[in-house]
Amino acid sequence: MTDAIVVGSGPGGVNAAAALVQAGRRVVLIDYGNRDPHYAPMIQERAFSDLRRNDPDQHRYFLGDRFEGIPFGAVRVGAQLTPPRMHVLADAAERIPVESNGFQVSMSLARGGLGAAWSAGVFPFAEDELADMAFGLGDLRRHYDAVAERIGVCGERDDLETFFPSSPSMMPPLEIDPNAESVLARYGRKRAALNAEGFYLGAARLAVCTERHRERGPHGYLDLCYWADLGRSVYRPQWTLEELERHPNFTYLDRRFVHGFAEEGSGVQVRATHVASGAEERHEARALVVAAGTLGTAWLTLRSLGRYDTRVPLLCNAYAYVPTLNLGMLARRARDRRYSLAQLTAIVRLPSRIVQAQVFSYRSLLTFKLMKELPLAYRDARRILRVLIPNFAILGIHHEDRPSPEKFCVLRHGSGGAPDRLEIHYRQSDEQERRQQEDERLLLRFFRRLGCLPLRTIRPGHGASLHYAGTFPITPAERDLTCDRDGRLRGTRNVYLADGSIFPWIPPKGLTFNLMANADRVGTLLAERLA
Amino acid sequence: MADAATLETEARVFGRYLVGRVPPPAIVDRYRRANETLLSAPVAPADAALLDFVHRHPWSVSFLDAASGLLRPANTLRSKLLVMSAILEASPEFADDFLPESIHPVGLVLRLAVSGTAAVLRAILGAALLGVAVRARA
Repeated sequence: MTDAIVVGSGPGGVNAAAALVQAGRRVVLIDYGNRDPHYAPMIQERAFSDLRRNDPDQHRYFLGDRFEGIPFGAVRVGAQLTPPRMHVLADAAERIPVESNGFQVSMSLARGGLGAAWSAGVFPFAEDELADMAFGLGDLRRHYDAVAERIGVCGERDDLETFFPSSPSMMPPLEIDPNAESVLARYGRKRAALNAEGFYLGAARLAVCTERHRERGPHGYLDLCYWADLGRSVYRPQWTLEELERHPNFTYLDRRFVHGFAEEGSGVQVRATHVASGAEERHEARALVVAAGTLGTAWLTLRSLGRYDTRVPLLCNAYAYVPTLNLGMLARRARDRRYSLAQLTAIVRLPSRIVQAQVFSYRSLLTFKLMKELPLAYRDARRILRVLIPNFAILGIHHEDRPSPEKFCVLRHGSGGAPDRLEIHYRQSDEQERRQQEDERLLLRFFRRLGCLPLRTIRPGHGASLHYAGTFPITPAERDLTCDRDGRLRGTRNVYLADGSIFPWIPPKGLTFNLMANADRVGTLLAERLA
Repeated sequence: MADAATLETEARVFGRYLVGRVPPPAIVDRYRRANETLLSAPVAPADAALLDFVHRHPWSVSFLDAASGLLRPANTLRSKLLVMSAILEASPEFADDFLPESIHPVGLVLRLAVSGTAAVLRAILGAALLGVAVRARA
């Protein structure tokens, strides 16, 4: 009999599976597994500017064959979902319908899940942040280290070390661009005063190989991070899945949509539909690890337990981005050799919380997307943006989120043969919104002192960060629809959750690296139990 | 939706307006296909009147674009100009018209001053013209 079935090949699924397989357990990973066979082969391994000037077929991947890369209206979710990444969201809305009061939902049925379009930020939680989560840094540290080695993390041991504990395997950082260099240089000159006021700045820690590692990388500085996985230097869960597929203890079943599970005897039975044939299948194992993404896991778990019309909490980091004009860049020239992901990370430490921002430069997501944001004639917008873009430092600001009675999701029966649907209600309190705006003002004051003048604050709306979490939180108390410390869903004997679902609150840090570390922990503990 | 010949004329007018050159046939064709894919829904009467005015008076596009950017940023003219901008940007012939350039701070200030002033003047004239254009066909 299979030891464990893992549902989902996203960051949680593959890392739970890796821990199980490494411990010698027999694992079957069941996945829908959408891929992009279309655009990826078109993108040549040449610098962004070279492609722009010379590739006559560039419109096919920059705009898409159905022009799906031309956005009308406000940009709501990750602008990094370019045509070659859009397969990440395919089919999910039809398979798992969601209704919401304006909360933006992005779910994935792709090979690699949402991780296939991850912006690769690595932000391990600190001891004080984990204190409210029923486990400590001591529980997670070795899993942070294991995952950091598995996925390849680069970074600098700088002023951010206090906030983001580093791992022994950390590779040297990526070379930041002149825009970031100028901000960091000014920070260096004012460091003592800024630190005394609680502001810290350093190189972004990223799941990117700057050296050859596990047949990947190093990064080529072609500025195509949002378009292609050239050299596989940026981590994608698919890379771990490929490693697992070479292992005799591991079986990958793709083109399956898992729609239910039930505990039978001493094991678990999983029900799935074969995507191509429509045939119903049943798979059995001693234990089940659900890692279908927070919302996918909520849908599957509530449905399997028959818990319709029951509220479970939902969390998501509030997000805002602020284009700033970096005066320090005025006397510098932009370099062609660059990468597109975050250049710097900033932290403001407040008495009871932190605020975190990442600093990006802009180029490879194309100028026309900014032209439409300006209230100018397009010709004037083009002329102005061409000379302003090298001086833009764009801040992406994240805020923490905690549960409240006004943030929840509910599973409803589908009517007339329609699939069951998730209803999401998400509303922040006035106090929470006021505090976030205060925190943003404080952060922007620090950036003004670094020569970055904010131009506009854009709040793309609830859900836009894609950091969904908290539906079945790990709690010390025995409560319905929660998980115990091992990630086991209470009320079940052998069902474990290994994605964002288990976090009882989320600090203002990207969740992905943390859920991978926790998935590794869940897989490790389960492997010991199954031994 | 406009017929193929109208869309091809539009592509040439918009290309000349946006980058100062008439785009080659492949880009004209791409613009036509993009319109058929993205902008096939019926156009509101006011938007149709505006497009009709632009077709009859191609010189007016810069003014009407400037005014629309301020007053009606989601109208069909703006959507079509966005589509043409995207297509031009993703073409080797026009890449350098869109790729960012680092210039001396003095040049930057001059560029902002000249383009900014032109944008404001165009928007003022365009705001007056917008009312005329929308009523013209009615």
